[in-house]
Amino acid sequence: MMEAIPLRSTRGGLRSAGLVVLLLAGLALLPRLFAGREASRVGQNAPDFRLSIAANGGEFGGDGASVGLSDLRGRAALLVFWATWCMPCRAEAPVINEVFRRWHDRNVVVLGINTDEPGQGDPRAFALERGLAYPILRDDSAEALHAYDVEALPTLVVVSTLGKIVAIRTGVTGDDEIDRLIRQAL
Amino acid sequence: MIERVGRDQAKVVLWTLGLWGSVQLAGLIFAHSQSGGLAVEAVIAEMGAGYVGIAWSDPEAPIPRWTAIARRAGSGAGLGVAMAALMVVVGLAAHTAIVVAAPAALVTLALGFGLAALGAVRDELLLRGMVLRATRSLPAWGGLLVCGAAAAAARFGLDGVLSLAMAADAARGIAFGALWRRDRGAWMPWGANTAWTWATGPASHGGVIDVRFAAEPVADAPTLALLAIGALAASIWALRDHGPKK
Repeated sequence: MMEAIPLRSTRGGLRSAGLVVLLLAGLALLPRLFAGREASRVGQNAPDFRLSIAANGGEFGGDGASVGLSDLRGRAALLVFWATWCMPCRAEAPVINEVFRRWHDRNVVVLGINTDEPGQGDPRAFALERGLAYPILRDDSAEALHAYDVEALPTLVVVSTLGKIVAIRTGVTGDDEIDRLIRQAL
Repeated sequence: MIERVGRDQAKVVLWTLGLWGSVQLAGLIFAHSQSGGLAVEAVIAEMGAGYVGIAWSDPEAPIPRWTAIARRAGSGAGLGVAMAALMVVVGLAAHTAIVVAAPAALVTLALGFGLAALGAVRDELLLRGMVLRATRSLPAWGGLLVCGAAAAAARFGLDGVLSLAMAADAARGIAFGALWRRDRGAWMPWGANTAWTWATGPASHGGVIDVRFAAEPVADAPTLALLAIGALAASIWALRDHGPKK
């Protein structure tokens, strides 16, 4: 499959080298053509919201206090829209927890935004049961859900230190991809 | 003969770039879903590479049994995990990493494995299989070097900046290219790539243990040195007695 075929002419060697250079240039440049065009909202200012804290609110004044995105200016933020009834969200929760553990002391805020209807689920109990350590906010009036046009769960929104949306991901996202997006946000 | 080789090389290079552009477009269309995007990219790579004859096993050899395929992928996975473990050991010895106990997170491990496996299909077929085919007029070591350069170029395309991570990717590209030559197919390098990505990602980020690096895990000096040694060793292993058929 990969036999070496000796070159017998300088012309052939130059052409071969030229094709290798073309190949490498294409591999480097093609992804740049598509970079930063992933979604119309990417690059825009992240809409502000203010929500009450359901669990793990120690950093923001304790559970029951409220926190807004504008309070976090200067820090990168990972917003995770989820619900207790959403199976992919339940699968993703441990991944987000590990991301939180890796990044929370590196100028990054991880916020779980629970979108359960009132009486539908108990995000605080879910966090306790699963050992989740990142702050969970309640969006029972769908304020943040509508502000970010979230159509499916789970949805991740990565916000830069300047308050711009860096990336939006729907469905389960791997932790290496989340790490990469957070580095872009810092 | 030379003309035929040149035409074949040009065709493979253009086809590779077409496929590479297609997976970027798929990534854009499926930007909202990493798992969906990776699945589509893997299908594009598999179909496109298959069209120009890039096979998972040597087409000139008898069709392998599943046990042989499992052995090839498993041995590659063993190499990938071993390299990842060495990276942690070197990090600990150089005091650039610490290990923190973590509760086993099976969901994290399973999800991470699936994503790593899909990404490895795309990268092995396009960045190694196609590249080795496009460089088969070069000496074997030349093809491996181009595999390294291709991996670094792809990293630059992703990040848009020159970085030490490019050097790390180049070393991995050479090592995986060497496994292609050793295996005469994709199963061993696919196993190694999947295992490396999984072991350095979800498995060591809280899935089994939690390794915390002082710098980026794959871009500090001890890790780069380890990857360079690994790439050299893999190249020697691949080229010593499994060189190109005459």
